[in-house]
Formats: sequence, C-alpha cells, structure tokens
Amino acid sequence: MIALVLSLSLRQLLGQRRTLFLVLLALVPLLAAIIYRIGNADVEAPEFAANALLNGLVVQGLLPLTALIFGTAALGSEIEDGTITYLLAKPIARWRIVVGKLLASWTATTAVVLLSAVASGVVVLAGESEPRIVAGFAIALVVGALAYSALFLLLSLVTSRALFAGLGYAFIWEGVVTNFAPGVQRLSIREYTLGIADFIADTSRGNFDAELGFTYSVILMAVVCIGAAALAVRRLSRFELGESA
Amino acid sequence: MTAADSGNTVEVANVSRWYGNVVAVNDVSFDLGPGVTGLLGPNGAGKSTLLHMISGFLRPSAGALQVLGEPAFGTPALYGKIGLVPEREAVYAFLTGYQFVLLSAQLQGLPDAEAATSRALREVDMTSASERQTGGYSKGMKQRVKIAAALVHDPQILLLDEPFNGADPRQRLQMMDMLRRMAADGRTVLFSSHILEEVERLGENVLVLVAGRLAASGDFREIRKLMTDRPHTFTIRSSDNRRLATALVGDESVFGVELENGRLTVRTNEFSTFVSVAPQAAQTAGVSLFEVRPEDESLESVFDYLVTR
Repeated sequence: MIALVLSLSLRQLLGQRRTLFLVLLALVPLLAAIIYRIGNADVEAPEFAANALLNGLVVQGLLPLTALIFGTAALGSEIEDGTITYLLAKPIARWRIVVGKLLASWTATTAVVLLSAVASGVVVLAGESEPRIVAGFAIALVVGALAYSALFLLLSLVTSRALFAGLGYAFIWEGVVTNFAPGVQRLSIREYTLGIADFIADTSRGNFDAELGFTYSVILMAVVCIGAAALAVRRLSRFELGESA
Repeated sequence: MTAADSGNTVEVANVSRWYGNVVAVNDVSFDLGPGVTGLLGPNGAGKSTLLHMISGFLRPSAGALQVLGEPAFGTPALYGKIGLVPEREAVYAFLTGYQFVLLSAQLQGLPDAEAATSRALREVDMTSASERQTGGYSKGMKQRVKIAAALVHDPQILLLDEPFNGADPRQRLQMMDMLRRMAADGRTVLFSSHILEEVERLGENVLVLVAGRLAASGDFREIRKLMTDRPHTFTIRSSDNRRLATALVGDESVFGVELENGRLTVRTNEFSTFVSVAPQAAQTAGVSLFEVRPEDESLESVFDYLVTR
C-alpha cells in the first residue's frame, strides 16, 4: 500500500508545473559554480563551496524551498482538488498514507537538491583535495530533506495556507530570527542540517563552522522527523473533509 | 438489537452537524437497508454534509451515525464495504481510466485487481475509453469512471453524491439500471439529487432534506402525491377572462378564482385534473386560451410546502 501511495504521489509531484520551476532553481548553484571557475575569485575553492555554495545557496535556499513545494503539495494539493477522497475512502491505515506521501516528498526533494549540490560542488572542487565537503553536505541534505518534508506535510494538514506558513518558517524564522536570538538555533532544521554537514565534511581549515554539534543535530533532527510524522498521522486520522470535497 | 439483526446497514439517530453558527444538518434520524434510496433536496439543503457524515468524512456534531454497526467516522476498515462516488469532478488527470480504477482495486487489496477493474469498467460501459487519460474525459465519462472505481470491490453499500450530473440521457438510464441491479442483489444504494425526476425514476424510498431537516421520508409515491396534491396557483391569459372565471369556478378541482386588473388567477388542489379541466372549460365557454402558467413551481417551493404542511 505504501508503494502504491508513493508511486501515485511521485507522479503527481513530478508532473506539476512547479517542478519545472524547481529544476530551473536547482540550476542556480551550478551556474554559480561555473561562474566561480571561470572568474578569478579571491576566495579559495573549499571555502566558496562550503560557505557560499552549499550552505548559502543550497541549504539556506534550495533545500527549504523545494521541500516546501513538494511537502505541502503531497497531501495539500489532493485536499485542495478533492482527489484525497480516493485515498481516504479505502481501508488503509492512515499511517500508510502519511508514510507514502512523506516518502514521495522526500524522494522528490532529495532528487532535486542532491543533484544540484553534488554537481555544483564537484565543479567548484575539481582538482581540490576536499572530497568530504560534498559528501558531508550530500548526506546532511538527504537527512534535512526528510525533516523539512515531514514538517511541511504536517503543515498541509493543519492549515490551508501551508505554503505561506512554511515560507514564514523557512525564511523568517530560520533566516532572520535565528540570527538575532541566540539559542533558537536549536529550533531550526537548517542548523541541524549544517551540524551534520560540518561533522562529516570535517573542514579542518575552518572553511565552515556550524552552530550546533553533530549529536545534538542528529537527535533533534530525529525528533522533528518522528514527531512531525506522528502528528501528521494523528491529524489525518481525525481529518474531516468538508462539503466541497 | 444490532445492525445485522435489524437488517439496517445505515443507522442515523438524531444527527446534527454545524459549522460555527451555521446548522447544515439538523436532528436527522432514519435507517437504511438494502434497496435504492434517493436523498432529495434543493441545493444547500445539507445533502452533501449528510452523505459526508455517512461516508465517514465528517464527524456528526451531535447524534449517532453507524454503518454496518460501526461508527462511520474514524473506522477506515469500513471502506472495504463501502463504495463512494464524490460529487466533485476531480480525478487523477494523469492516469488512464483503467489505471484509475485499477488503483482503486489495488488500494482495496483485491486479489485479482486486473479482473475486477475490467469488470467494473464494463459495468459502466467505459472499456473502450479506458486507455485514455482521465484528464481528457468529458464530465459524464469522469462520472462513470468514478462509479467504476467505487464499485470495483463489489461494496455492500454504495453512496453517490449527485451521480447523474453531466451524464447524457442514455448514460443516465444505464446507470439507473446498474444501481437497480445492485439494489436487487441486496446492496444498499443511497444517492443524492436535487432533481425530482431522477429520484422519481430510481428511488423506491426517498429522504427529502430541506434546510438541514428531514422534511419527509418513505415510499416515493406517497411523497410524490404530497408534492402534487398541494395548492397550486395558475395565472391565465385568455380572450375573455371574466367568462372563463365563471366557467372554472364551478369545477370541483378549483377552490379559488380571482380576477384583478384583467388578470385571472385560479387556485386548485389537483394539479393534473386542473390542466385538463381548464382547456375544456375554455372550449365550452367559447374562450380562447393564450397562456396557462403555474406560479412558483420551483423545487424549492415544493420543498417549502413539505416543511410547512
């Protein structure tokens, strides 16, 4: 059942027009990498790759935006157009629907973000002896994509304005508030992602430093993934479809 | 007594549903067993809300609603025995008709989903169009493929929200035959409609919902009689209204005649009798009839009468 929901949802997500926008957006880091290689920048390649490219463009921009669009659409667009009826009117445990939708959103987000990060990272770091930077960010992005997907899936079950709420979280809370209020980094998926990336990338030359440690990041990331998925299951089990459906 | 003992498949007891201050369904009670039942009412009467509650998509604000002896809301296992055709047109536009029905069969966990899919598509006469994407279907085709998906697992209860919307007359008759067959096989079929004629042609039993309240329920013929044998008002234009008024006032079917500003208004209790009496009376009186127009024959006015009678 999970595989059925997953394949149906992947077709839905990848077939929508927004996916084309995300693919174009995923080309931005690659374009930045090519410009860096062509130009004579003063910044060293490992530092540029870790800070400007993978942290700045991918973790802070592409990852939350892609997860937001896929995560809120996975269930949200079905609720909006009424097709959710065809899933809910089946004798399937609600957790299977949530898991199938979450896997679809995670897979789609990972595919877009990972390709962009690895391709642009390789372009910048070609000829450098820093292979762990790309590996570290790649692993962190996969985990971060799961946490963001779970959170945004939950949002789509809580509010019909999940896209705005998600934008507020990713770009106001994580982008602005966490920079001014010390301590709230612990409530930021971005910081968990950077904590994991920093540990695996092991940028010994201080190219990049995360605010949170690895263990902290992994535990908090797990709490977000499991907590958001569990709440989504609970929410879907009690979900009511109005007359418009 | 359990649902199985009573033979009831759907039991609705004092069910209400409100959204904030708006009452959509108000203290409705009825039981359903095998057979076809039409849920009739004007738009906005609460039919869809009631069907959503029976489908387990909405929790009643008050009262108890059981399907096959289980609470309708929060019991996903029931969907193995319920087939549901929603009113909204939306289908997975990227799937073909066959894939759409097959998905339904697979999600139902049927052992031979392909065979069940082919059978369901045959039932609704959609085999030939089943390889086309549903996004390109007409409204009627979408409706039929939705019905195929709803009955692919051979459900004991079939709930249909405005199922004949968009269907052409031939398709309507075909669907009606199919629903009758399902009911004859011992299934419970409940469909909603705001069109009296649809319910008349299909529903043995009828539930009339007006402004959230159950205005009438039972055998359709009894309710139809109530609807027909109610006071009707006709406005008549003729070559000599005064002479026609004199001729009509003596007829038993007429209980009121009014002639005001050259306009003739006649009140009758027997709709069908009057429409044959009026031309005869005109002919006998030597008057030419230009127009005989029933006033306020909207379904809403019929329903209002049922509520206030």
